[in-house]
Amino acid sequence: MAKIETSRPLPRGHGPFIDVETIERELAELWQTPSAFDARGAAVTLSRTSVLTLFVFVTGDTQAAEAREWISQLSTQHPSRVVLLIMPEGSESETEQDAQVSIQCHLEGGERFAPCWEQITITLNQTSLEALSSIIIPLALPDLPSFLWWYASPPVRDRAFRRVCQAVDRVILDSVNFGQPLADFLALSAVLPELSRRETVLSDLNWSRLAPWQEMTARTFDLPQYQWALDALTDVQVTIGHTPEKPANPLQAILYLGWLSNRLNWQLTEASGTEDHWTLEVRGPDDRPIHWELLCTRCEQAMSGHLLTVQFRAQQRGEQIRFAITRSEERQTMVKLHLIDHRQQEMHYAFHHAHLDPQRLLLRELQSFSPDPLYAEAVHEAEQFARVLQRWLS
Amino acid sequence: MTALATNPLREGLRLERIPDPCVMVIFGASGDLTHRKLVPALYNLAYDGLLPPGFSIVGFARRPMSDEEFRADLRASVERFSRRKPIDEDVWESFAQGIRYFAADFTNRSAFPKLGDLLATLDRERGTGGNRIFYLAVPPDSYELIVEQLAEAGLNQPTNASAWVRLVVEKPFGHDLESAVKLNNFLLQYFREEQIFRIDHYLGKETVQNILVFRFANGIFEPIWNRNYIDHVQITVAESIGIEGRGGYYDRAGALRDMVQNHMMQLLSIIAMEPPIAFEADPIRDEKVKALRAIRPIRPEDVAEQTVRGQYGPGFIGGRPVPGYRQEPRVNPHSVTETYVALKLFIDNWRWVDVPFYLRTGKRLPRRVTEIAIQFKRVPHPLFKGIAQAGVEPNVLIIRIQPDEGIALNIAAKVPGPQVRVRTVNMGFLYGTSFLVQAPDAYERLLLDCMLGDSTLFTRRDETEAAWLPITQILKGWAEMPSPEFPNYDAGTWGPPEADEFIARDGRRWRRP
Repeated sequence: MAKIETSRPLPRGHGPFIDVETIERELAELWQTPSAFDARGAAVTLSRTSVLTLFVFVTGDTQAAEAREWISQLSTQHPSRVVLLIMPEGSESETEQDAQVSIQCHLEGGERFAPCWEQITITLNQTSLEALSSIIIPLALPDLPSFLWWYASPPVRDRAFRRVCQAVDRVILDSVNFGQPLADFLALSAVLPELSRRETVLSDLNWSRLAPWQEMTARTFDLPQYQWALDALTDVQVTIGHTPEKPANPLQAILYLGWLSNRLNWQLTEASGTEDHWTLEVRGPDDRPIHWELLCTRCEQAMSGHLLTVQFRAQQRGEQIRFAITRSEERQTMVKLHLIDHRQQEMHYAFHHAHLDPQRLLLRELQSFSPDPLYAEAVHEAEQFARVLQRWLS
Repeated sequence: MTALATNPLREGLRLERIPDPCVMVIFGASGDLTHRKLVPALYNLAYDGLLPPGFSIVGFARRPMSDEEFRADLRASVERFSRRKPIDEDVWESFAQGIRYFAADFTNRSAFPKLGDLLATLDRERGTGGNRIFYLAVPPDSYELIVEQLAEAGLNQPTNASAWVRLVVEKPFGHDLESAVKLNNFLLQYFREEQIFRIDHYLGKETVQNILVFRFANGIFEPIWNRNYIDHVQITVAESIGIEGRGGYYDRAGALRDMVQNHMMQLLSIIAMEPPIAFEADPIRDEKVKALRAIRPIRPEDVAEQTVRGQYGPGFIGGRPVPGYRQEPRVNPHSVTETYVALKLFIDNWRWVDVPFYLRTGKRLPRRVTEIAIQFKRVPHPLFKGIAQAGVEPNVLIIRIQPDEGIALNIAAKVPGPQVRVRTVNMGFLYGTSFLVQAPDAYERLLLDCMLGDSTLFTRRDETEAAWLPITQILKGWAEMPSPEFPNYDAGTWGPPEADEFIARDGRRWRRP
């Protein structure tokens, strides 16, 4: 797939701040570009389509380069106006605001139309977090949903962050990147009701990644011959990936346990642990004890903080069932179920899930507009686990 | 759906709709449809996690074969025809675990109770819960025999209160109204209407479904979607291919039965229907049926006026010489079967009376295109007459089904400059440039809907019969007329000259799509 790109830096106006009107004017001029030609010389109509405005906030040049790569991939499937907001790191922080506009198009062989999207890149200065919403609001395309993808670790405890969130329809962040996972999670949990009151939807990619795990868990108990096991679970073991360079981030696991607890009315009674292995005792609605283990295991960088396996055991009147859900190490978009019952009858089941592919996960996020009530419930339930685990992880 | 409803872990999950565990019995398991369409579609659903655990396939065919041989056969087909390549070993392993082969002849009565035993075993071992789909991927002359045998073995009835049994029937549903009624009556002796899923793969296409969204999710079109504003409607289904080895079937069917009775009548009904009271199977189908029933009857003496037939002779497609229809394999060298048909229909209801719907379809036309063009009336007062009238064309709304799926509106605009010059410009929305994602194959959508019990995209009994009525009237009229001089158009052209004259008599012309 060929690509054409046309861009220009913006002429600086008076003072250190960027001028939104100039951005719009320069973009309008760029769109005057006549039709392009494909490799065979055939005319291709450049097609301007936007389905949303996507703001992406990054810190530093490394993240900016990563984000550009993501934007390019996302925009080939979801043409948008993209505004890349770069906050310089450390010594660069005194820089003046700077902006550049560009139009990028993908030329697919044989197609008569080339979808194009526009990108605005703004380099902020350190004071800009306070003023960020005043940049975001006028740059959002009218009548289309606006998303803010906070690619950097979000300053959830900063009041300015909350103001920025309120400037868009939906905020996407990823708790797998939290600097202090449990403390940041608890702070985020406290912010959620306020954002919800102001109709800003917040979504955590780390929660969305649980979808295949939830689906696989639910499907096991859809099978008529194993439905009894849901009320007879005795053990749950959850393994998460961990690299020694970073503190353990158990948030994906505790969101999963929060969801299970919420759905099955389980109550936490006891906890014990070390810095990478925790045992939680919970009780079901019939006072039945369920033993949970949460383990960290060494993994490659990309899987750090991600669920690797979930194992269940259920027992009732001579019947027993064990099942394990595993994320494939080689093909990370695949989850596999292996189920074995007391007659040693086995079942294998495997599928690929869009939510385990980072690009498709983001695309799905950009297509959903309503809040996920299960998320709010799971966060509420997971708070207690986060507080307990803080004893060993803070 | 009882099993899923009682699982508290399923509540609120935002994922795709997941069917109950079930087994699909495919009659005609060694056939082309199974290998090219059904199993690749099922594999793609499995890949995306849209099939439930325990989902099983039983292939029913005459040829002796082991389960393993059947799996190997199907694997080869998936490798060849799936839109996902290469095959994923883990997905295939879990998918293939549920594949069984049942070698038997449809005529063998003792085979069906044995099939029942196999299904009961799968219920126990794979948790399919008595949920069954019987897919008739066989020629229509086998339908009655299979259905009768299923009923005799009690396989048409659910085995428990929460189980379901469904029957999927492929087109053609009969060869005229009488045979369609007969077939429907026969099926309904053994299956209830809600158990029968008559499949027309056109309805599984994303862009066909998008017509409903376009019409009923946008408030601005419905007020002008009527005889007050619309001059006429053109529906074109053009194919550049010939009959692709289907000579035996096609020579008996012809374009009218093969394309118009099903696909084009579906498009017509979706364009013409009134807004349904809900986006659900029966309200939508009720409205489609009403539109079809309102088609003005075609009297035998009007058939010559309202239709044109054509058959292609040798010609060129994309610079390549191609044979004429009569030179195609398994086609009678003196065949008078039509490979092109153009017709004019009227829908006699409050919305559409006197608005002509022109339908045309043909093989070996210059390009493959399916589109619906809504031609609006001219402006009431020709304001630009004299100074710029040449550029003022009536507005046309084009709904493109394939390729370049999308919607375009032709509007008049002033050419920049000191003079008033008007030109028609095209304002287009291309599905592919706004949602650059690969749409699932029509069969994937339809098979999944069938498992979910959603019959919105399947045709109901009254719908098939209402669609057959005008077609049968045309067939009767043709039977009374002398055979046309065939071939009457060259492959690679837009059909016979008579088709242009036919629409020109009304002061209109075909669009060049």
